[in-house]
Amino acid sequence: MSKNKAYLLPRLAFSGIKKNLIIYAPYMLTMSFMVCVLFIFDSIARNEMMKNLPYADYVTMLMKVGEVLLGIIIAPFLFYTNNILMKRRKKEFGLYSILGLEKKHIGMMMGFETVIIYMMSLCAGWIMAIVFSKLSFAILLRISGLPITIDYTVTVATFVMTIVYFGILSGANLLVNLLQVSMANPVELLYSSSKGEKAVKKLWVTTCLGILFLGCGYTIALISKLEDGLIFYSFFLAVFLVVVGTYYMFTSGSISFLQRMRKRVKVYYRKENYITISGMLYRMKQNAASLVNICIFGTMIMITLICTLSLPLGQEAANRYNYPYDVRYDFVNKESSERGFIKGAEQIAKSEMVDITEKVEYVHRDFTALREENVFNFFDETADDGIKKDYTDNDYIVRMLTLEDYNRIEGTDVKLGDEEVIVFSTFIDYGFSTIILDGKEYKVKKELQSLNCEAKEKKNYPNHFYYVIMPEEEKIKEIVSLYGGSSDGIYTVKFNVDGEKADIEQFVDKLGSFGTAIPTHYANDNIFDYAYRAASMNGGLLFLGIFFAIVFTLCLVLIMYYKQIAEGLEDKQKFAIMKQVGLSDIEIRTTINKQIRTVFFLPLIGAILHTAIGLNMVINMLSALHIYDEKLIISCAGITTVVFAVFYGISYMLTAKTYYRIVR
Amino acid sequence: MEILQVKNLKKVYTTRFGGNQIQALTDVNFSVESGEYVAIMGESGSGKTTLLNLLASLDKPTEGEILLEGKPFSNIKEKELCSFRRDNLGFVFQDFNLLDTFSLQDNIFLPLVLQGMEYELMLERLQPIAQKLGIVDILSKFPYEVSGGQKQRAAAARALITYPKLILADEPTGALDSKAAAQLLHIFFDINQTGQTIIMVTHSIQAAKGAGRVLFIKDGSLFHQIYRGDATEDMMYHKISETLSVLQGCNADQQYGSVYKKNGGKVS
Repeated sequence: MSKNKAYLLPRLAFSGIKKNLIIYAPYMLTMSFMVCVLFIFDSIARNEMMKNLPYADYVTMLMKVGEVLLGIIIAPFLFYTNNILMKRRKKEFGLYSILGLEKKHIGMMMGFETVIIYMMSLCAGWIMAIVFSKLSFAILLRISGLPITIDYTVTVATFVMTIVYFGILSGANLLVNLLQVSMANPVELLYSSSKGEKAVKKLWVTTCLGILFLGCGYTIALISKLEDGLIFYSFFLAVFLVVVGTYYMFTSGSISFLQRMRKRVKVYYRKENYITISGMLYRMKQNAASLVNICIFGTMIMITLICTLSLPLGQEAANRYNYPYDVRYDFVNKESSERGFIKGAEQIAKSEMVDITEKVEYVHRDFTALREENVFNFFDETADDGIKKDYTDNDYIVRMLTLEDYNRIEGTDVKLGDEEVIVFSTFIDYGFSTIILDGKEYKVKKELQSLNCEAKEKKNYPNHFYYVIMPEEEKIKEIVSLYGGSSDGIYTVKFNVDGEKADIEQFVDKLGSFGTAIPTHYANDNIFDYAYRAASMNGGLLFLGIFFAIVFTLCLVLIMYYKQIAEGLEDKQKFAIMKQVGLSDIEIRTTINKQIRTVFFLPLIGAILHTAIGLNMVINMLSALHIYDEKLIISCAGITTVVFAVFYGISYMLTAKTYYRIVR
Repeated sequence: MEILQVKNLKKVYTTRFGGNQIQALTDVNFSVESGEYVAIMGESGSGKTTLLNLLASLDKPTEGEILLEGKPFSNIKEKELCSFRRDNLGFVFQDFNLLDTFSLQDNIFLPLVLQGMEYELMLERLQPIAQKLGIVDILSKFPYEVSGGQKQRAAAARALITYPKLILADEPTGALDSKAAAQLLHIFFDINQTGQTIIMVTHSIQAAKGAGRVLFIKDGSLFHQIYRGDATEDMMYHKISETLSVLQGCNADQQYGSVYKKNGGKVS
């Protein structure tokens, strides 16, 4: 390379970026924000202090998951935007080529450009990360309920990660661009942007495919339930199907619709439809991709926001669902030695200045059985008969209480005959009027809809219990041991605690060392520990959710912006011609508005529809986190939809300004 | 009958900064009879395009008046200007200005659709015009699928379909090869024979020689005009090139003629 070239090529590269700043600046901004977010996730995931902290491991794990997930999502996005950028610049490269730059020189120039963009985005991303990371880390600690004293640390590894990851992405993009340029001849490059679109063939095939994919995706989204155990696979399958289906629907669906419109002479040859229909038809294929992307990103933003909102709002209820009482202690039921626990607990409460309020105690005896209709069969793992094969679906825990305990828990005075039982299910109603245990039929006197010591939730997945209440303890013992359970049973104490937060923590600690020291101690748990665990996990999810939503939003706005620029440049000449043929400024403006509005609100409608259908999955997945409040989730979805629609409208109007500026 | 009158037309452009004034047209007077075929010639920067834009009502004169059938342009309200243009004027441009989003037929229909005409009526109008211009077979094609000459004929059809009082053509042969150019000029000649008034701005002597009258513009004012009368196209050609030489202030054989030969019939 001669001295002149060494000087010229980087200069051309630099001026190439500068001249195209209108398209490169938003690209670099988005890329640097992605650098920033990945940097923050990575640095938190690598924080040494977090690893040694109780409950912080969830956050560390979530950051790692978030980092990988985001990395996967942004890669195709950057490829896609790179493609848009290249389309705009082909003409320029063609011109250089005609003016005498060899392909290898153009390649070198593109290489310089890529390096400049890469380095600038990386540096900007780092600067942003350094400015915002401490603050965002503090926010993360705060919403996760972790001590704010943890230091924010950055390791060299994080820098290396961003350098390598974005280096690979930029390199891959450059490679694609080089291939495109090396394969085309200069004249092709020069005129590539003004080539007409080829008509889409076999429209009905792609339309059918679109309906098929979308239908399958929607069906999966609508019928999958948490208890199938496959919901996370189904989720990704549904997402894949819907993305592909949306693409087909947006292209061929809209094209065949528009073509049908064009065939209807009375409709098509009217001033207000003529330009709109033909214009949309002309650009539908190339724009379908960006519309699909806007639609998908819109859906992702909305789903992310719904989950992000529902989690912290539903957490309180979820905690209460798992812990109807603040503290629970289980002891093996051996005579009355452990009954002293309550006295001990009351003493500790007194010394720690807290009150033990609502309290329940009872003995329960459990066994596992296979249910077929109202018959409970023995559960025998070694058995090799017909029953065994449905064992995952049909094995339930039957928890037996005495009538005496039941009356005490509920504060009632119910009487039962010898052949009568009361039934309570922690999930879907039991629903039969009799129950057959050990071959003997009992009449279900009443099926309870609530029980003080246990929550009922129809959609609950992991806790499938049938409470069966019988009058005679001896009879219960007999049945339980026949089914292979322990006839001793478990003595459970549950109670609520009132007092200052610090005092309660002290109390729970002391009670722990006291309670676990009792020889018959079996298990214990409390809502406070659980709330910490839940807060750290949900805080982490919330943090990820917010950042994901921001990144998705940026992507969406960027695609929108590019779309406006591309169309503006295309339409500029078109409207100049129309003006000469006799279309007034006002008419032009109405046409533009109509056309843009139709095209732009299509993705919004699509996104809202996708979200509405996907809501079933969201509800099911959130129930895995014990958030069962459908009303809450649906209202979050409502709020999200409204906020998103407003935001969409605003960003549409802002980007549309670019369009008007170009067209005018 | 005089269809177009141009009286004391003056156009001054003021640059946006510094207030430099550029006089594009100083004082132009002429009139066009109904059914005339007028070519306007002049060098680059002589004011041809300015004049055409004023005739097209795309721009407003600084002073003076243009009257179409006795009705002054200045009486037309801003809002009505667009509909006035599409009802009374037909345009043919150098670069065709066809829309890629429409098939040729729909491009031709564009002004009629804007007028709000019924589809059947539009079809009725299209048939004879398409026949005359020889584009019947390619009507369903898109502009990017046909040649330059075919595009320009479609553009001419679009100009004709409104039955305009006046057709304004801006370098219509500028982007065509000589064969397509000759074809188009032949069409222009034919439609003029049916009584259509045409005003054409051009560089090309080849294009201008078919006109009934040639106006020459220099430095913003009318310099000279030639009537064809009974002259043949060859004689017309000779007259025009002579005038152009005078216009340039030098000998035609030495300079203009040689440039003309090099450029294959077009004067650049």
